[in-house]
Amino acid sequence: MTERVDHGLLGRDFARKDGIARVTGQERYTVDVSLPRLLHGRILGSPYAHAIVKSIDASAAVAMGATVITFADVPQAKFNQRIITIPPVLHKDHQVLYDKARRMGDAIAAVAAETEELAEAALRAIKVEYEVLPVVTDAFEAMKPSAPRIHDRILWGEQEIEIKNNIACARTVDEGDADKAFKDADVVVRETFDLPKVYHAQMETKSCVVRPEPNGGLAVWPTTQSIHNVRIILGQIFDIPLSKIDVRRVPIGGTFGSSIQMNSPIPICAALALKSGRPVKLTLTREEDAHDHSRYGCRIDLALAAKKDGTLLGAKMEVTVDIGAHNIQAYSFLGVAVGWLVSLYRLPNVRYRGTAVYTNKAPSCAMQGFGNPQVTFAAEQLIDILAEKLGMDPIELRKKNYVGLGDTFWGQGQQVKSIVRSDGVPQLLDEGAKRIGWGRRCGVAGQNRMNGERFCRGIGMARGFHTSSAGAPQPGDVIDFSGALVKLNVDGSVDVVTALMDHGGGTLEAIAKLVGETLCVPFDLVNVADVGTTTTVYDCVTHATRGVYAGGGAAVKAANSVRKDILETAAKFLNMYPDALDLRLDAELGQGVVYAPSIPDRKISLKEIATRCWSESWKTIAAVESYRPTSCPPAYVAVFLEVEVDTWTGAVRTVNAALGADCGTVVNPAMARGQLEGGLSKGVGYALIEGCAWCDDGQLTSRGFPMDAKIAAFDESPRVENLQTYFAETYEPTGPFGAKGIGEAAMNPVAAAYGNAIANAIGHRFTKLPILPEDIVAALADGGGKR
Amino acid sequence: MPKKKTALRVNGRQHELALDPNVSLLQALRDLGYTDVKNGCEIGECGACAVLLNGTAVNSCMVLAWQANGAEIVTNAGLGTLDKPHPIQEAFADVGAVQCGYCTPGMIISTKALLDRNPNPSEAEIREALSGNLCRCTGYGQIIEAVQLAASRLQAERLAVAAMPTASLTRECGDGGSHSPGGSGAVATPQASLTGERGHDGSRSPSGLSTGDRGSERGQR
Amino acid sequence: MSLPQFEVQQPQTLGEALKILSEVKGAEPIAGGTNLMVDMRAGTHQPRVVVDVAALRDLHGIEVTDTEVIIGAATTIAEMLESPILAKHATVLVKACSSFANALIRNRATVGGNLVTAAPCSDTAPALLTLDAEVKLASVRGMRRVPLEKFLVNAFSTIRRSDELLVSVRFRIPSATATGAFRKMGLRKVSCMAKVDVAVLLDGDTTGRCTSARIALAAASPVAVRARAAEAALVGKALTPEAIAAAAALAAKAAAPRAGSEYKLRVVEALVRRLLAEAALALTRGGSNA
Ligand SMILES: Cc1cc2nc3c(=O)[nH]c(=O)nc-3n(C[C@H](O)[C@H](O)[C@H](O)COP(=O)(O)OP(=O)(O)OC[C@H]3O[C@@H](n4cnc5c(N)ncnc54)[C@H](O)[C@@H]3O)c2cc1C
Ligand code: FES
Ligand code: FES
Repeated sequence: MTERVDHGLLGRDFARKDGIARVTGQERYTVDVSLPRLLHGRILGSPYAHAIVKSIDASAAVAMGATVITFADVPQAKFNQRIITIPPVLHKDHQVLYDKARRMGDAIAAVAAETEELAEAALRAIKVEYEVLPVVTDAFEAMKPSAPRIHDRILWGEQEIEIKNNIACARTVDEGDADKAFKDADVVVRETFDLPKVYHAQMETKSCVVRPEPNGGLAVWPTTQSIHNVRIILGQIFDIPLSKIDVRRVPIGGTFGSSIQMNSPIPICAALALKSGRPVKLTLTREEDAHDHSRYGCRIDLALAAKKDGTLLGAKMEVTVDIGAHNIQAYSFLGVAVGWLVSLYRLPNVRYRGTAVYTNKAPSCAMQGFGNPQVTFAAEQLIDILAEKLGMDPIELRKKNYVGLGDTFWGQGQQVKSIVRSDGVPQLLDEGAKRIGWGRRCGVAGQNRMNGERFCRGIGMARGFHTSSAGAPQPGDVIDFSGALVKLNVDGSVDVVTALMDHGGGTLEAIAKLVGETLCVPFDLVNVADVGTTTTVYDCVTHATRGVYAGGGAAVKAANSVRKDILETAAKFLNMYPDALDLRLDAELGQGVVYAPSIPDRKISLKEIATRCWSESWKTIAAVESYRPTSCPPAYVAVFLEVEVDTWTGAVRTVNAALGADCGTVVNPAMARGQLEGGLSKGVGYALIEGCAWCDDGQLTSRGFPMDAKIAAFDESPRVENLQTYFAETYEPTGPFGAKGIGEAAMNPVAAAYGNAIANAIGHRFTKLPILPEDIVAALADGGGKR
Repeated sequence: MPKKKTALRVNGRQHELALDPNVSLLQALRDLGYTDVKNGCEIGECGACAVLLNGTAVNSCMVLAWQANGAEIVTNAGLGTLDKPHPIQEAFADVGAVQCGYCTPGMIISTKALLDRNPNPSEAEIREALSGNLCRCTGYGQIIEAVQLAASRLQAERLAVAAMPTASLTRECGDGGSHSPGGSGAVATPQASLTGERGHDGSRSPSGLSTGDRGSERGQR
Repeated sequence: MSLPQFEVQQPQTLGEALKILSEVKGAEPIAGGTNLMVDMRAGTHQPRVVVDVAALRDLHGIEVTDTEVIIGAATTIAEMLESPILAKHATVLVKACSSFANALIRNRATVGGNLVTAAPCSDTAPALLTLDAEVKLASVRGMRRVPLEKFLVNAFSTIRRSDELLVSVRFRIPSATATGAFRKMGLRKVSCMAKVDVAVLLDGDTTGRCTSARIALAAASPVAVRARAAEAALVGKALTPEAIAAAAALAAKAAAPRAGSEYKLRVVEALVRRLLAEAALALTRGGSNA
């Protein structure tokens, strides 16, 4: 799309535009938004994980001066909090407030009052009579005919459907002839993997501020990854024209996928604001937040068939997903799960069965990788198992079978297919092997332990990828496009207006660089504007590692239109043909300059062009573009680890780590490194310490306390000098300036790499996460037979 | 519930408050507009709410506001400003130790407390001093590097100051912000000399105690 | 989220504080607040009156006499970590303090609050148990001294009466050769609650014979305990690997974790063995101090 030019902005670290605001504590997050006459909202969450509301008496709360809303006061139509899937295949079981609780904390009522304390007192004054129902917290129990029914009827598109056996939805994929492949195979390996639900533990809990506007509309400051989708859903629920809803982009204190959907406090806050006629702030407590969302838990039964020489023939996979109490995106999850598998390795014959099941637990939603870490945990361990069975080096086996250059790749499920056009996998594998010292790896797993040593070291690796966006050559079930507006100001500076969110990974920073690079404008003259939905064109959502690739694509497309306009305008001013002109950054002027390569001294600066356009009352040079990525290139990663297992206590220490990524052109080196290291930290949490547990009554055993939910702290990361990051040198022809994504990819293979390294260290393979010290000690006591 | 009179000196500004006894220091500070003090959990586990209380880093969610009566409080925003960030703040921005930024104010407060007592910490000492601060985004490596960079920049600054005539000392070795009490080489401000617990060299007794009058008790021990 | 409502009393002297505790119904002390604030938010503690004891002079300071070390109940974990007195006489306690919570919590949390809470995973309790510590309780009725082992009754339960304040903890200075060791095993490497805590304090003569052994465990039973049988098995014996292994096996018997935590027994045994070996080795090098 763009030829390779380099004006020096890409690949260099600049002081981050929002960096100083963040470090000096000036950044304003949703929780910091303050408005005159602001009321404080609180939610009355169900204290039972499954219960019918028989009656509510809120008179005492009203008498205290609080605004109260219950089921009867709010629109009752069902919706889905997430609208990335096209409407006809969207499952809708959410409501603003519920008359039946399906998880602990489902919102039954809400109040707004002058102070937080008064709001809490008002909540306590609301009397609710519940009919408590039996609770089911296990997906397999939930499918039994005797299990309590969590949902009776929900909407599928506009059609009402009945939910049977708590199965929210199911998908199957058959490609080729899997049975034949398994019959023809020399070797078959098979294993069952169990992956827990995990709490996102983003540092800022879900929050929202809504101000009712005099025209009947709403101004909204939410925690979200998609201001436009929040606007559309609010418009649908409350039947307000979208032109009257302005959803502002607010910095967000972490999300990791948990704000792709419209967060549950948002419509509640809107309803409170509409009823009270005053602005309302509603922020979840940590405990409420922990009941509100989690990573998909699943059981994966995976089998691989191979020839003696290591060539993979096919796979059979069954995935059973615990989606919790509400269906946020189970249908897409089931679709992508198989996509991740067949995009990791060339598997001509596949049989896949995916089932999503309701339970009375926190709703599952995307969390960094959207099913990819789960599937990669299974696939990458099974590849190691296969390598061992074949007597092959695990890296060789991977090289032989991975989906790379020229292969078809399923970005996000069967409909999002494209061809791989840049492939850094061999570089990642070779460089990682060198950095970790693959040669030191003991071929016999658990050798040290057999020698009776207390501390056993092991080396292991796993590879993975994530798609950059969900782009594809034709429309599918997934909505994926971006938009941006770029304009040249009279002084030669540039405004970029985009609805993209920055999760902190530097997405907006990258956008500024890409636009600066296209227009030859110095970085500090590119402004990424503060925006809302009324001032931006649609951008679906900053997820799927699409920010830089797709959002950047839109910005570059708009910048190129501006560039074209600049050249044409300059051509008029210079009395030349536009094709005879070019743009460069003039170091002396500190500005972009249009010049004629063929005629020395014929030049005009951007400032002069824009100023003339203005003073001659002619125009603003600006462009707005939408951009649909037609490809979704894989950002590849490889994780190499050396771990040390204390066989006495079961403690695992990360001795060395080498994290490699192929994200095409590296736009922000320091931030790319931050993504990899952050991925390792969340990955080690997933592998070794995290995992939500629920009591039989549907209460979280952690009650939402982060210490019990155990996210990784400082010392889960290896010593700084033992943590290496590196990047493959590739150029993605479909990406802006050769860039692909990186964000989610970073975490995908981490847990699998731990599984493989621990297996190498002690000779026992764990198929269930997290791998706790007690599991390790127990396994060793049992002789550690499982390989 | 009778109100408690509470005097807080925050980032050099005096606040005389009458608060309900159950108001936490975190809530009091945020209500006063010090929103750089973040609420991540309200149960002492994340460190996002960390502030310096008489020079000691504590979780403000674990302190009742009246317990801090008479105390000198420094929040991250009190260390530096947008125009003149503190060297620690600058180091965090330069190294890329900031992603979503929600943990950052607390991280910087713990760093400040560390570097005030140990200007040249090892990696292990950094990990230990920041052990109460959680970050979900960065994976911690770049935070450690930011602390190291800040330490070396502050060292260099001190050396440069040492080489200067004393007259300029007052101005040069302040802590960045115009009203920033405490800190390495802080000149005895009126309030510092009142509590009498901070010498010219910025040394202070290790303490978790919270009020100024307790500070003087500590002196007698 | 706001805290429940309560009133505040800030007594200036110990006497005043004791009077409030005896006269005011529903009064509860607060020191560092790191337990009480959490419990109040969770609704498990709802004091009517909160009595600030952190400022009481009598509850502060770490002192050493000819025979004893005395630690005021309101001393913070951070202060203990930096105390030269403890560094000299009670490294086992300093080590426990260094694995306690995290840097921010240690600046508030007090030893008194830790002992009165009597959580199964208290980090100071096992270290103080190996020092044969005694606690001093005061009320308007007078003072009493109780061995820590008797003070701790069960999970979250002590013999303290509601009108009593914990004033101090004291222990006899261990012999100059006695050697202490402490290890905490938790899920995370820092800032975590213990899954198992082990503290040991060993003394021996120059021939390598054990003259005194104290072993304490936390988080492996409802409340911190001494492993008396294991101690007895060591005293008078040479500190050979076999003797140490046998003692470690006995120590595991002193643990009584909840059902389903058999893992803890294995870890207790492994850690006791490890710590005894470390301490024994240090002893042969002339010992350090506790
Ligand atoms: C994030 C976090 C991590 C933690 N990690 C650890 C850890 O690793 N190890 C560990 O052992 N603990 C840990 N704790 C628990 C807690 O910090 C300790 O128990 C601490 O020592 C309590 O002391 P405090 O002064 O804060 O007690 P407070 O909360 O002030 O009081 C606790 C209880 O003791 C009573 N009390 C306090 N002082 C006295 C007194 N002098 N006389 C009579 N009663 C008194 C109070 O009335 C209250 O009931 C942690 C807590 C948090 C929040
Ligand atoms: S908010 Fe205080 S420690 Fe988390
Ligand atoms: S930068 Fe997001 S939590 Fe630390």
